[in-house]
Amino acid sequence: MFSNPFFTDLLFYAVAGAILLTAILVVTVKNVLQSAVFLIISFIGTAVLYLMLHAEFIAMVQVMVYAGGVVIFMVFTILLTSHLGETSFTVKAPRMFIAFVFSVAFFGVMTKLLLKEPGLTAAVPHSENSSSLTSIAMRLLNIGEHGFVIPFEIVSILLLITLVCSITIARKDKGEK
Amino acid sequence: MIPSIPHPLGNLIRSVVPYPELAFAINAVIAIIGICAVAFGSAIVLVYMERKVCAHVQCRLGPMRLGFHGTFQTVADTLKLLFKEVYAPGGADKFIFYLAPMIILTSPFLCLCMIPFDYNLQVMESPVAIPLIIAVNGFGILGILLGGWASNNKYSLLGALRGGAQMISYEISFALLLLFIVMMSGSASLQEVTASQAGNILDWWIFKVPVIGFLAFIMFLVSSTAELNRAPFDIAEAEQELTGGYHTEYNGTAFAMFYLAEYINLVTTSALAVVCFLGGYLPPLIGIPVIDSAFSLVPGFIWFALKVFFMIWVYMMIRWTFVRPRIDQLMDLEWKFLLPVNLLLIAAGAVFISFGWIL
Amino acid sequence: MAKKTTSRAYLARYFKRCITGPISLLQGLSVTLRYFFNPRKIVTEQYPENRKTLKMHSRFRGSLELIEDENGENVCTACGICERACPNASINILATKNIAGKRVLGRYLYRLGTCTLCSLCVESCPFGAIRMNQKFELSSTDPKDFDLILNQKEGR
Repeated sequence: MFSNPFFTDLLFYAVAGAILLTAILVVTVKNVLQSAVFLIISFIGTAVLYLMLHAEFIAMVQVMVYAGGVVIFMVFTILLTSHLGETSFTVKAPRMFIAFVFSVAFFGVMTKLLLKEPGLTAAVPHSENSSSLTSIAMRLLNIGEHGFVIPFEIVSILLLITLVCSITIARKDKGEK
Repeated sequence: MIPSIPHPLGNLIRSVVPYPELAFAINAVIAIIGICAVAFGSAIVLVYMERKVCAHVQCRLGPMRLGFHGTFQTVADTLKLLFKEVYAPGGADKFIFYLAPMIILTSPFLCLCMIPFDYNLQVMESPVAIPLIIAVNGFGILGILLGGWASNNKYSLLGALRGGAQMISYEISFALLLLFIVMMSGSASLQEVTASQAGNILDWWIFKVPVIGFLAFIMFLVSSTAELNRAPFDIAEAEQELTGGYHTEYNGTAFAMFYLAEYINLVTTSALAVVCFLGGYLPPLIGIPVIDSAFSLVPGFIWFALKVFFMIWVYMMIRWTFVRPRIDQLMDLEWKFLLPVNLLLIAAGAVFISFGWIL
Repeated sequence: MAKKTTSRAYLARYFKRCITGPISLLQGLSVTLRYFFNPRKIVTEQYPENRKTLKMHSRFRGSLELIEDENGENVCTACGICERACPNASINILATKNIAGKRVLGRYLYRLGTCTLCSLCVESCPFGAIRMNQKFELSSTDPKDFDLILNQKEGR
């Protein structure tokens, strides 16, 4: 991004620190809505990391799907369903132990995988236009060896089925008043 | 590789300042100052304009006392608003209460960064500008939801939920209409969308695609009015039912931020309509050589500002003319009318492209 | 409960509304556009500035006054119908007798402070002797200013 790698590193560590901090806050904050807010900040930080890797499309999708879509629906459901402030949840010891074991195991596997690649000190150089909107669209809607048009159409049919199913569940029966 | 603005001012700083990083930082500061100036300046002008337009529609005069025809009235109001004490109601979640206005301000500022005011007057040229604008629009919904909940007020919560449901619904047709333009111009970058409308006035997308271009423009007006939470779709803050909606409990600077976001959103949405349908910064050439050459002499950003103010005037006339529908009528309009017509419109657009019926 | 409609009737209504809806919206818009581009239709008065030229409408009800000619003569006969018509007793007619022994108006007492400017007295007057004038700057800091004697001369 910058000609001087020092600035790129600085930006990376700042963003990574912000992501870590907000991710910790997501699980430690007592209020569900506040943790949703921190989750959004964490997602946006991830989008900034994608931007630093020149993956503009992925960054945009990250903002659109996670920050703009998923978390907003989470906030919506929290507002509609829960009685905030009436009950404060407590974390029991066995659950905490299981969570600790799982996170340590995940961290171990990740570090093991990362340390396997010796030359992995900086971001992988990207090929020209690898993440541009046009090239992604060409890949998605192309027929042939590098095209993904069949999976794309299948996914769209799946989404259509989901839509129809949700409408069927939501709609009233004929006899129901 | 440093992102750069191809503007004379930016080039001058790049040539004068020795370090490219420092030049980038200086240019970034200039861009931030410019965006803030546009945002705050336009908000003050627009509040005045809104009051005048509203008054003249209703056979009144509007503010007349402070300065010539009340010109300084909004400045005085802004100063009053900024010097008010800021406090949160009892039982409010202070953190979210003060965070919500800031969240709601992010999306208009981000959108403003992507608007091409002229061929070289743009903060950020992105190849995915239109999807990005659709993406950051979600923060507006988030700010409304959080602000309404954190106020610890039933009216606020109801207004926030209504506003959230409305904005999520209308975002679909808003996005689909923008994608219609992406389909027509073959690019998601706002510069290229503008460039695809070069030529005379009939090359703008509103006229270039016969009939459905105009239909798309009208539907864009409807869905963006709902997206802006402006009357006639101001369900989120319907005064008669919800006193003030999600910003009932806000005052002082925090309320000013909500207000500011509303008006910057008005600017960005109008600018988006201008870029997508009315030829952006291109002059309205009508085919008569003398007038065309005179029009071409006027700088692009002046044409852009004129068109944006025309669009804002259209939004204001809509606001002060039409009556507010009920929430169920509003949802019916989106899900039973706008969305099916939108999908048909996109299919028709594909037909128009494939048969080459574009002027 | 909503009336049951067949899907065909529903669709017919839907498409009919697609046509009539925009037309009615355009009608509304034409009204506001006409007002917007016609500054002459503005009804707002810039009151303290145009105090000299401000003309009230003929229907405006300011305070009550007796209709007098240039000599200060009025046609009130002190019949007292206005006094009885007044819903909050703002009017008192003090009658006297003239030289001929006929009952005439002595003093027309009018208390503006309790008057609601309902104009019932004007409507009830059989002789057309009183009317509501067009003064509207009626406020005062002294309550005595609201007890008025309307006639300058006694009746004949």
